[in-house]
Amino acid sequence: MRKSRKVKYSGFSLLRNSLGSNFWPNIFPTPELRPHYDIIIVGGGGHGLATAHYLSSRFGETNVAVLEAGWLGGGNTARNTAIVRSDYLLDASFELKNLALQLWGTLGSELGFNLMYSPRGYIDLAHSDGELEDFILRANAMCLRGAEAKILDRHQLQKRVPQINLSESTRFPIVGGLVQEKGGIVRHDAVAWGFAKSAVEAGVDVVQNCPVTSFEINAGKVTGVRTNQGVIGCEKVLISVAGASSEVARLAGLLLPIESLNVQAFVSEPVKPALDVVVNYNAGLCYISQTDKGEFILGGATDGYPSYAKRGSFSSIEDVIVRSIQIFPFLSGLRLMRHWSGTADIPMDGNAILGSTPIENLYLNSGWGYSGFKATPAVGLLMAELLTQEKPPDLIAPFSLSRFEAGNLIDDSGTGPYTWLH
Amino acid sequence: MTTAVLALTPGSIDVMLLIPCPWCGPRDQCEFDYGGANVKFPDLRHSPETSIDDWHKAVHLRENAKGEIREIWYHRSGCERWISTTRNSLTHEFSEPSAGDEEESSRNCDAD
Repeated sequence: MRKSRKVKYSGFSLLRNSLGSNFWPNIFPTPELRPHYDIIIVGGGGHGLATAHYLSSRFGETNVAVLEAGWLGGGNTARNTAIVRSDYLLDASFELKNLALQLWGTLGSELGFNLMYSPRGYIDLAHSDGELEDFILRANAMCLRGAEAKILDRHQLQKRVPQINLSESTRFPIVGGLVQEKGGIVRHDAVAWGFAKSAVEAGVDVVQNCPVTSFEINAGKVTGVRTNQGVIGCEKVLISVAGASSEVARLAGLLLPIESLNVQAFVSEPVKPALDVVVNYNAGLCYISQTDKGEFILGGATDGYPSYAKRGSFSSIEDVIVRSIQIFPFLSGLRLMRHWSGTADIPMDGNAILGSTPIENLYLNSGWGYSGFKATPAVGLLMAELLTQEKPPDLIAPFSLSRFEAGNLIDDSGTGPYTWLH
Repeated sequence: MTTAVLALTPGSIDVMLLIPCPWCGPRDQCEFDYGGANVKFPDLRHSPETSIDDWHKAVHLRENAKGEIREIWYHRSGCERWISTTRNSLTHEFSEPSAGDEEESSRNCDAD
């Protein structure tokens, strides 16, 4: 079975078919692999599936396979805290994320899949006058490039987020914030499923449980991949595997300027709606929002050292909880319900690595660390353009792998080559 | 009951890394600052022989192995020395320091 039946989801179809009809088919049937594809995408997360969707919908390329070692969106796509925003200072990083933010707005109807994009506002908290000055610089930069951003003083902040604790007796008092009202949250696993559904309906083969074990490389040119289902030939390969970037690139003999670190997230028990905005605490890191189910979802910084363990240390949990309670003291009355980790591939300058590699026809989409989710549709669109057009898109040119050797780093925070601090 | 299980199987859950400091013994990670991969940097004294590529390799490129990695830590709240360790990035287990480790640590770490 190569083609799946096209399914159109709507409130009406839900009503009509909810009583035991046989309407709901498997939208991801296991395809029979073709011996040769134009393009093979390694990695069936949000980024890889978005690339497949845009390849078929915008560039008419459907001789494409997406090979996923596990299950669709089982990596960082469904492990992040679902936040989308574009409040970045440097041109290159801003442009990518802002393109994504524009795409998020209409993506649900484009895919025919409810992504529950909720532009509820994203607030970054400043803890000193100096930090607020820095936020003003960032907000001005955003406004100059056509995005919307506002600086809130303490009074305005209290009005926007009534629950926030602005006491000056806390360890890191809050002096103001930057708010991007178009920022918000998106139902993250629906992103993977929506892109996959669209790609599969267009004729793309999406294969789960199909790890790539090596690359076929002849005279510096990739000609295929070896998988647990045999060798598959291809014209081009895109590696889009987030936390496994170093491991998969190593199969092609490439060493990347990346280290993989553990990042943790948690949800509380569900309660009635109490918070209608995403809030990020900057003394340390703690980002908080409330899901539509009522759970508070909390995330923090990396665990601070390279790890593939996908389980975190308790000290990081404590760090995040302490900060969350400082912003919202009422959270101390809630119990944590679940806790999980993801592996973030963080490059030496903290920014993504996109584009060609020293091996001909082998392309890379990696190094998104823990900021990849928000960029998903933009990355998919630009990677699809990269794989089909003669000229690589301008927006990804600054993110080349060769920038490290050339010294053209894109270090938004000015941190330096210390992955665990980005 | 849960607490007892956690306490009995310290290897199965990371309450916190327990880092083997050669000077102070096993200590909690919160006493340390992470120093990154144990990398051999080009020798500045012989800079004419050092190429851009050497620096690129030392500053940027990392094995980032899923398995044993060699790294350095600063024992901030202890002996205040840089130490070198070998840790499994998948299981978080530290290996016993070997003779090679000592040679390596004399390059990047306090070894007096």
